[in-house]
Amino acid sequence: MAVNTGRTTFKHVLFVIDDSGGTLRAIPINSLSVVGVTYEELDLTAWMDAVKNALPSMPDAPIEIGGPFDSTVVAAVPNLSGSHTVLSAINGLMVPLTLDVKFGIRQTYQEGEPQFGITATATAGYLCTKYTVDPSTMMYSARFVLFPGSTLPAWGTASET
Amino acid sequence: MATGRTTLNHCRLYADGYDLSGYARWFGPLTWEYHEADLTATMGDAVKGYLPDMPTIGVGTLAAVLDTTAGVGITIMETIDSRIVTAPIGIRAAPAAGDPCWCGEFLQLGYHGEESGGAAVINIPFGNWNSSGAVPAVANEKPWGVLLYPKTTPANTFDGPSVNNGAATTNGAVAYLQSFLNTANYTLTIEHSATGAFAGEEATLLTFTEIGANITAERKAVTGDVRQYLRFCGVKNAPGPLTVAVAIVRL
Repeated sequence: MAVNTGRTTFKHVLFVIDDSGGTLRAIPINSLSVVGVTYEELDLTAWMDAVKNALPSMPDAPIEIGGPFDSTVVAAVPNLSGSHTVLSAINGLMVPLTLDVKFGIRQTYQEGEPQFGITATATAGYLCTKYTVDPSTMMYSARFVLFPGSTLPAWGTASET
Repeated sequence: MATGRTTLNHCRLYADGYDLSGYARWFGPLTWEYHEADLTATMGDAVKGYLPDMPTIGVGTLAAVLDTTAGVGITIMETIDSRIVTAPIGIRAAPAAGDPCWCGEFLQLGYHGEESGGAAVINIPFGNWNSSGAVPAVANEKPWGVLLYPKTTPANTFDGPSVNNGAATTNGAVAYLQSFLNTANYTLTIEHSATGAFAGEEATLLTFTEIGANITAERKAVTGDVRQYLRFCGVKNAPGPLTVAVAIVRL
């Protein structure tokens, strides 16, 4: 399909993460935190300044997701793999993971449409630090933070690999 | 064994050899969250970075209806104790071999009678892992495994279904036995196989200590190789019924 431009809805967003073997998997989500890099604002104002001023300090880019508990076996992207199948095996792993949030524009994501993420290397990528399941709703929540020394994740238009 | 999504209706909760599912309204959340140690080197790094440190793992709260049926009601939890918990998650049906299963040994922190919409209910909060557990500490870091043998009353000596874990591991495993009824004398083992044939190539992975104790649970760890396929087996040594469920967490 051709690349679409314009506005879209979350129906077309795909959350993709490495499984424990380093293969990218799309998992079902129904909540997604802010996606992007946020910089700490370091206030450098002096009393005699005309206006409050600051500089950007260290950036951070944690991502939290939630969705239905799902034990489906893993499948190739863009097919959905089970959230439990993937997350229960990567939570607490000390190996950087590729993470890719793909924003399909009114259609299934096509290369050229916006995405945010990072392709993992031995020293860069995301780690999963939380996988909690609430049986009363059969929903999970999970959290991802960057590996120490990692490069910045970024917005782009080509899938992470 | 089905896969996919499910509802609370198909979950079960076993503790110390008691099936509390018949009284439970809900339980959880099943927390598995690592403290994030901030290892950012601000003068050199491009972005904040973290490593997972010590995890918090907990089974949350068990909310149940008050039932005083002798010996089988929720009142058996009146005594505060450390509980070996197994919570299989059935996938749109009663839990089957291979289904996800939450396991651990948690401190029971209370037994609270409360009113809820006119109903007399019991809330049982659980705390963190029991730190006096005899298994290696590393075995406490992972709570999710699979149900190896769903709650069953076998008629005689038996071999349970083979469960394919996708690959072998060299990291060991922790097995959880829930013995709901055992007036017989059974030798209970878990066997592992590289092929799943169980035609003579299998070996015994572990043997549970409990062989004739009624209403109990056991948590047993093994180190080293765990082959891809596992099954739970029982050899009947003396007459009497047995009802058990077994889960395993591969590390």
